[in-house]
Amino acid sequence: MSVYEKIGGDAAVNAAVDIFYRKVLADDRIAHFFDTVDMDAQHAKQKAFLTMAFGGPNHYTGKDMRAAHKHMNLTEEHFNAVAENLVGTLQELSVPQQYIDEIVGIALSVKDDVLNK
Amino acid sequence: MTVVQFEERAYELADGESVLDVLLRYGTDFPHSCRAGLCQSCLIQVAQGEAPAAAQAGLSEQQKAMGYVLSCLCKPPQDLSLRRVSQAGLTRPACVIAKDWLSPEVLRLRLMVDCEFRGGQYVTLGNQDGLGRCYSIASIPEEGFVECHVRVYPDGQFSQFLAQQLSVGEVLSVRGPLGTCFYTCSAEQAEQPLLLLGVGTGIAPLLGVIKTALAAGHRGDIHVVFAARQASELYALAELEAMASSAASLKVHAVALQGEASPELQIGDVYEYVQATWPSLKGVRVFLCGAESFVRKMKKQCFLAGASMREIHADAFVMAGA
Repeated sequence: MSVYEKIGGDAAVNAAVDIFYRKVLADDRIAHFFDTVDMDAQHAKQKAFLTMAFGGPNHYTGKDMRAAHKHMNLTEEHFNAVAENLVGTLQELSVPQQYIDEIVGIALSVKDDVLNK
Repeated sequence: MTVVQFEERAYELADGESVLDVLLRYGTDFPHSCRAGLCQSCLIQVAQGEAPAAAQAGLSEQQKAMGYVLSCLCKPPQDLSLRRVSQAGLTRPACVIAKDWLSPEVLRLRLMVDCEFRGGQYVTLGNQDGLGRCYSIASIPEEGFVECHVRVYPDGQFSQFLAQQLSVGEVLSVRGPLGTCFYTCSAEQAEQPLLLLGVGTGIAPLLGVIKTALAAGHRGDIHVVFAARQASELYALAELEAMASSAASLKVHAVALQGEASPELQIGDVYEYVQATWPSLKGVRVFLCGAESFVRKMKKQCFLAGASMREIHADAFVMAGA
């Protein structure tokens, strides 16, 4: 069973996405990447990201991840900021630590692709 | 074998294939990204047939009401006819049945037109010269006409045509309606407080939303904030107050940057007023209408104040070239 199923699947993502998106919009390190004109489209992207991070159904490939982040000049600091907000969101929702660790593991697995290393 | 019709072509679905799969297999250019029903890049609209519920997972009530489906999840058991969501819909003739000035700058048009619509959506009105502009709908179907509020600009080509040349009894073309800024009512939504925020003629679609909500028996409080620079620009205040006097759940807030404060009129900045009056918007459904800059800023403010993204409905007015 994936961690996505263990924490409640789509309902868990829906519970997390507003909290997560509010956190990144309030985080000066990364807010500018997320503060776009079309908040609905950005919100849908956050949902897709969380579903992927929770180990839920997605079809993103390493190549997609590279292409999507290629021109953003992302650094380790940006990646860590997103990861911190992700952990903060999960803690706020009282997700057990062992699942948080699993989710962080999934997020770390795409780090090199996101940073185009 | 299930067949879907799309842009004058028939697509035969293979076993287990989604609508997006078959479109791409035939080489049709169609936007898509995650292929898992999340990113909503591949939205498509059902023109004829029944939208499969599984293909509407995660869509808003408004999107569902308009027959939108996610093509990547759409595996229809029966034949369907589909169209692109960006398509503006049919163009129909509309007879002008009334034309009245609501203020020195705002003209009210009432049109007889044979189309389905929801208060808060918008239509594109056009004339014989091919000029056209979008206007929101302030009326509901029960009233029997489409009502639009036209801000008339001194050098506005189309608004000057409507103000100076158009007469009652003449015919305009109407395309649409489009837009998702309308009221829907599921069982749990009927109790939910509503906050409607409109600037200038942004109050027009909100009148449509209020009328729809009241007609549907909405039980939660409905707060409407009508804002403008000058108090004199609050042209729909009398109509709002008349509605509020017969609907106890409707509360009207008028905010102007300049003017004389009174018990009915707040003088100040609308962003600060909303922040101070509703420090938390958790559980509140929000409707925002007005200029793009207002909608953008207010949407972010409302979201950060706790409103859920799925429950912020917005219609931003974009200025056409004069």
